[in-house]
Amino acid sequence: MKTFKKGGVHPPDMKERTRDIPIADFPAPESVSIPMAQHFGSPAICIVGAGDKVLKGQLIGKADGRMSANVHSSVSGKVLRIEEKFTPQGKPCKTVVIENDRENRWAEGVPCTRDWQKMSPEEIVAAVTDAGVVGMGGAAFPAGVKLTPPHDKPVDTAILNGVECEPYLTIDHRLMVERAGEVIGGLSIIVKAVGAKRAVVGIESNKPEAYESMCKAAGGKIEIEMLDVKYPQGAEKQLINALTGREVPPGKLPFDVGVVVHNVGTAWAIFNAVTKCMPLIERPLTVSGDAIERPANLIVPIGTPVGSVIEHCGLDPKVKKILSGGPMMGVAIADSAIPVVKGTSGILALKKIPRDISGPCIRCGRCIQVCPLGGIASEMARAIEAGALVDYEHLHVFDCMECGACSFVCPAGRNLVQYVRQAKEEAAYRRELHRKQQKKP
Amino acid sequence: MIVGPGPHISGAEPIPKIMWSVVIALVPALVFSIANFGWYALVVTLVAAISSVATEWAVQKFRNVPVTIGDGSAAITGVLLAFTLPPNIPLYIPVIGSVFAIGIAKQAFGGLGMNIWNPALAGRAFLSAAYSGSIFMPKWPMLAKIFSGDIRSIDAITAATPCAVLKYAPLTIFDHYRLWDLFVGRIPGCIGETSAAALLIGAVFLMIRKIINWRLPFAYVLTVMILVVAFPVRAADGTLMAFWQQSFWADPLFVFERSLAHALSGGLVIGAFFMATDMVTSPLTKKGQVVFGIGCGILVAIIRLYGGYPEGVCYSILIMNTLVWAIDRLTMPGFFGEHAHA
Amino acid sequence: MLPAIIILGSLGLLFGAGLYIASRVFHVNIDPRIERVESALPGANCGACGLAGCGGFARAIVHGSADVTGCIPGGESIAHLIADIMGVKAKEIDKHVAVLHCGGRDVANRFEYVGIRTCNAATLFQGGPKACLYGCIGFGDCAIACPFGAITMVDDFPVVDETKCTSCGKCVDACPKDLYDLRSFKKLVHVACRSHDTGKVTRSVCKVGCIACKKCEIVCQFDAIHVEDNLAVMDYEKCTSCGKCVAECPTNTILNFREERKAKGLWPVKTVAHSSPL
Repeated sequence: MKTFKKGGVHPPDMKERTRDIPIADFPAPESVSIPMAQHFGSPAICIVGAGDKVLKGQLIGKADGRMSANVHSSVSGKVLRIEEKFTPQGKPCKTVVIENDRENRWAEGVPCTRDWQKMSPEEIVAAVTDAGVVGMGGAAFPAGVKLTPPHDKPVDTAILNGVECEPYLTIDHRLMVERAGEVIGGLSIIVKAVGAKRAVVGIESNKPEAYESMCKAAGGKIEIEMLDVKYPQGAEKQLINALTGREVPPGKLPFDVGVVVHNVGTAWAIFNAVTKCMPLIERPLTVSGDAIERPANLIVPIGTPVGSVIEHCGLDPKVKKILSGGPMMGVAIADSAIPVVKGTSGILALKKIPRDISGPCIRCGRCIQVCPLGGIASEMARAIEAGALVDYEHLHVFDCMECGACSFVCPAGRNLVQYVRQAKEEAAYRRELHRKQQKKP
Repeated sequence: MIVGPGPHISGAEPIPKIMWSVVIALVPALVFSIANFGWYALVVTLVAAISSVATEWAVQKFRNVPVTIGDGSAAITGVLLAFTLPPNIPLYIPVIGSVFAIGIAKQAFGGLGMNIWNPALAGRAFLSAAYSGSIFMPKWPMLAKIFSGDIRSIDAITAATPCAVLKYAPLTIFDHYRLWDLFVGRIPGCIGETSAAALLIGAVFLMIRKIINWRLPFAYVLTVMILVVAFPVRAADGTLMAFWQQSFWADPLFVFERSLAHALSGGLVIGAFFMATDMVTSPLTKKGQVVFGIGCGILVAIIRLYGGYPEGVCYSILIMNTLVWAIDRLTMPGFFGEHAHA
Repeated sequence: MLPAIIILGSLGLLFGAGLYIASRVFHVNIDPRIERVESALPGANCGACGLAGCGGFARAIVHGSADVTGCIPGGESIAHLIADIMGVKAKEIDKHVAVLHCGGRDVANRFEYVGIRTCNAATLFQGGPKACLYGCIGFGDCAIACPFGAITMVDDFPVVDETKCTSCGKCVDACPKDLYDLRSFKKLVHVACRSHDTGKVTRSVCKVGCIACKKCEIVCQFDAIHVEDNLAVMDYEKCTSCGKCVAECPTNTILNFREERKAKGLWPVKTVAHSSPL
């Protein structure tokens, strides 16, 4: 079986807790907090005010430019207030708090019925962009942008990421088992939008039921490929390497090697956006972890506080960490009022976590062996600790995708990913400072 | 509630576990050395280990940094240093050696992970210079019967070490020691280095646990085995010729046996599997480690065949430690996609 | 024996002669004042003057592009020394010190932070572990940044030693919450808070945080202090350090440095007698 060539680690997959639990709908809470910045790029511009009445699926935030996304209300009701709140990523942004009137009244034109086969690629992209669809794998990249490759970089292969390499998460698996038709439909729509000649779905060998289900639903030219289990196979560059053998150069995008990659959740959302005019107002996710009593796979309305989802599933009081996302790249959140956003692929509650030991680097070289990009994590951490900015470029600090494989194997328990994150923040801060200084007369 | 950076799960083996595993891997060699050299060998080992740990504690207190003696790295240095000393060494010498090894060769550089040279070997090199009389002896002792007697008494047998024989009277090596003796270790030598068998048990344990990589020691030993019979030496008629050329056509097995005798003599097995593989002072990548092993092998062959000492393992590793930064720079993996075709 | 002495002696003479010739031929004419100014400077290379180290500053002084009072850590005494060397008069220096806009020593933690123990790293996690999002995190980035050892961490809270502070500004750059300001030594009254949370929220997390009650604004006769966006802000053009707002503040947020500076012998500020020009 194929897999990507360089590096990789094998964390225990912990998927038996939720692998066979069918997806259930999570009932909408009494109020939702919908942030304007749930996606990669500029935050949306809020177009409602306190006191406004909104309908389910109504536009409440307009995309600010091309690298942005529309934001819609996930419930019908009244806007209580607009406030600055933290998103799971740790940065504050404008958040619209809406009180649910529990009447479930849909906005005009939602849902509808459309035949995607009769739509042109431009119409498809417009439908996806209007619906505010972003990447559901966690990075939340605006899907409309991914569906419009530049003219000089045509796409020949459309890839669907059914790998779900993070431990504990099984939501993509369940989507493929239960809603394979919609996922394959989404892939067909993507193929039409970008004009690809080949469509492949990558699925890891720990998901045999998903593989079979997708094979049955796929007709004709769509290939379903089974891959060896390895983390981080779900990372774009690694998946492209595993399925096509191509390597995306540092600083470049999959477009540059003629490929476009989407998560199966995104394909599902694209299918709903194009065929039913459905905006992205709910998100499938897995709730799991050793401190959750009744783990589940749920579809949760955007803006639901993480706390209510966890309460619904039963929380062990001995919990130590609550994560938004998977245990490798997920973010630990401090406040259970933080909402579920478009990029929340999982909610995990853990009571057993690694000990806090941060020792000196013993130069064992394990981080280099496992880095899927060939980076030298130990040297990066040393340079960042010393503040040696000049070395960052040639050490490829800014090309690090923060997958965490290096920290996972470090015997000294060094926070290698945190060092890289800090360096990137510092560089962004300096660029911003420089830009402001240039503007002054 | 705890908040911190990811990843939030770990598959890593903590440093103390790694270090203490190495100490466990050295236990078979220690047991054998008690058999071969008596209880005094155990005393020397314990004294060295305790002095190393005590030195680390004292220096870390002085430097006002957290005390890390529980991680086992000082203990390993002490045990390995003891293993490179003769079995009848006066006790104050391993103590001084430990103080130098930990205090100067490790802590003065910044502690664990910051030293350039292997601390145990640096300590041994220091002692060779300061107490050369006690370390370089013409005849080395060994117990006449295993597990019985005191090595320092006159009942002990004394003889030239296999390395000395290979240097000064190489063709007579098998008159003094059979290959089996060299493998099992019933030969005179330093405390921990004689028994290749006992050391290999520990080494295999470490390789299975993935604490040491097989590439470095194999490259090291193989290079030595090839070069000691390939480099020119003085033949019986006075001409300079590679040993294999001198003997191969007459007795090919002898060439191989001679090669094997070199591999099993002296500190090569302990050096290749336990000293050169020290993570802190060896290259980061597997490719780099092979280069390191080959380099050490070349140096050992040169010192043993042409140098002033009968044994060259200690200095070969220390010299290659000095070059690790260069080896690292030259053997780093290429970055993903940098050499891809457009 | 004799040949050895002759050979080594000749070599010595030869190399000595060579060095002498080289020092003449390759001699660079530098203004001797540059070296004198440079040796008068503290030599910390802190960069507060805005130039590349003490050497760069010395060159700039002699070439006329920098003012003799440019060395902030050097203060008055250095300014006068340099003025003497250059043969000019130094102008009056207004000594500045770093002041911390936070008094929250006892603010509780919202969560336990596990990771790299610096304020800049911790602040990326939803504003840091402290219950007050505007206040000091206490991991000591400022203390590490200070090249003069003027900031020490006492019980995880920074304390500025005003005798050592040279207002170089490194702490201002280091603090991710922007809590430090460089303020004239003559200004004795200080609002030790940066929180824009409402009074109720601030009170629930900190005993000495500003609750925006406006009592200070009401009592001030000089119109110098105003509450803007839930925080009392001082206008130092108008403040006379009378101290009425300090007495009025119910939460002890506003501090008066007078007694502390008097006790250390720093107040009133003494002016150094200037030596006559050359």
